[in-house]
Amino acid sequence: MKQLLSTVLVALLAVGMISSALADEAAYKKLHAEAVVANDKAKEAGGEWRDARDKKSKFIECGDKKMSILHAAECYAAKGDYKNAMKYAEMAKSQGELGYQQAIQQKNAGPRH
Amino acid sequence: MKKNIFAILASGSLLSITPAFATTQAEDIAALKAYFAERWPNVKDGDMSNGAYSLSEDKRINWESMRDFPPYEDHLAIGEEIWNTSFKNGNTWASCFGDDPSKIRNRFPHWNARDKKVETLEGNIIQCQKANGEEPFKAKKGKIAYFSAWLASQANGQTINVVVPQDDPDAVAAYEAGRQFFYAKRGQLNLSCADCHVYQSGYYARGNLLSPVRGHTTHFPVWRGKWARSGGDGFGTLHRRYGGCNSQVRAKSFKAHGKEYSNLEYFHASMSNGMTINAPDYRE
Ligand code: HEC
Repeated sequence: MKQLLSTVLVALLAVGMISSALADEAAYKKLHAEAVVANDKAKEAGGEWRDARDKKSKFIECGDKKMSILHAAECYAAKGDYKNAMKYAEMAKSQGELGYQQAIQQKNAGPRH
Repeated sequence: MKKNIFAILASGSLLSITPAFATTQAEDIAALKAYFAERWPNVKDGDMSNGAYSLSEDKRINWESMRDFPPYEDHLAIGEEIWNTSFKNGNTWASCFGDDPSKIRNRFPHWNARDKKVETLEGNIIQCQKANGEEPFKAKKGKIAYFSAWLASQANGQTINVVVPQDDPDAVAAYEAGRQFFYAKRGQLNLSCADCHVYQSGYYARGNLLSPVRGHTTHFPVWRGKWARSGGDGFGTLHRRYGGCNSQVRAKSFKAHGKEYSNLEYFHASMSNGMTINAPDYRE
């Protein structure tokens, strides 16, 4: 009886862990997709920033490599580190949004002398 | 320290007056000349083609000693060799550019009314290679820079006069897009070309004395000590410099010879109208 109980407990725990990992992955994927959309929008407006997702960027470290913010998100996600993956996906998204806003604000930029 | 400088830069012009939106190329040039004349009463307009070295005696002494033995002579010779080498199909560069090499550089940048786009010297070098079935040069350094530098050297002393046909709305729009690019803040550091090369010219940013935009394009391609130290030789085209200046404010750079940088060059080169070509040159 005791044995059965602990088996059930272990099983429940395992299911819980798996489902929370799945939830993390799903949340990360959603954020990643939003980051891509935000940066596509910035690009369209001519306002992309250097480190958000450019392949040449060496801004964030993951493992022994340096890369763009969105690439770092992907790199951490591949390791199962969703905490960092989410952090960088959020950062890349916010850079996309800010780059877009900046480009729109500067649309009529001209001399001020 | 870094932060302080950029905070000052980002806070905008120290001399900013009420905005006056100049509209035509002629007005833009006149306004810039007037601005720099007031800002640098002792610097002659023509001397600004020497960039930051026109603004600092100390910098100028080092630079002049570098120019006594220019590091780029061998590369200029390669540029001349390129001019003298026919394509595999038997055509020569003259088939694209005419046969007087001293009459090429100063025709660029210009408006191509048929294709409705700005053409740049390096962009057309690549176009000429493609049209003749040749493997095109890399866009920003190496042979394209040697060749462009040699062509520029053949035009030394000629007066720059970039023409924006005022009766062609597409040409005017391309010029205005270039001007907007120059004055628009970009990147995470939120700085425009003008922040550094108009309003803060003569100040230091990260140990570099900032040059005035007037005279910026007279001496390109340049040989930079910094580029020489980063692997390869020191030659780079104007669009290589654009990429570096975008990237240092943490903005994504654009493709060399693409629409954005070609339009920028149309405006940017216009701002040196009336000055003489003095290329190539050394920069630190
Ligand atoms: C954060 C300040 C900054 C911004 C913004 C900036 N630059 Fe620069 N730029 C520099 C520095 C520093 C140098 C090297 C010193 C010098 O020559 O001014 C330089 C050099 C140059 C040169 C070479 C000048 C010469 O005499 O050979 C050109 C051309 C140039 N910049 C164009 C641009 C353009 C176009 C933009 C906008 C796309 C831009 N820069 C934006 C800092 C800046």
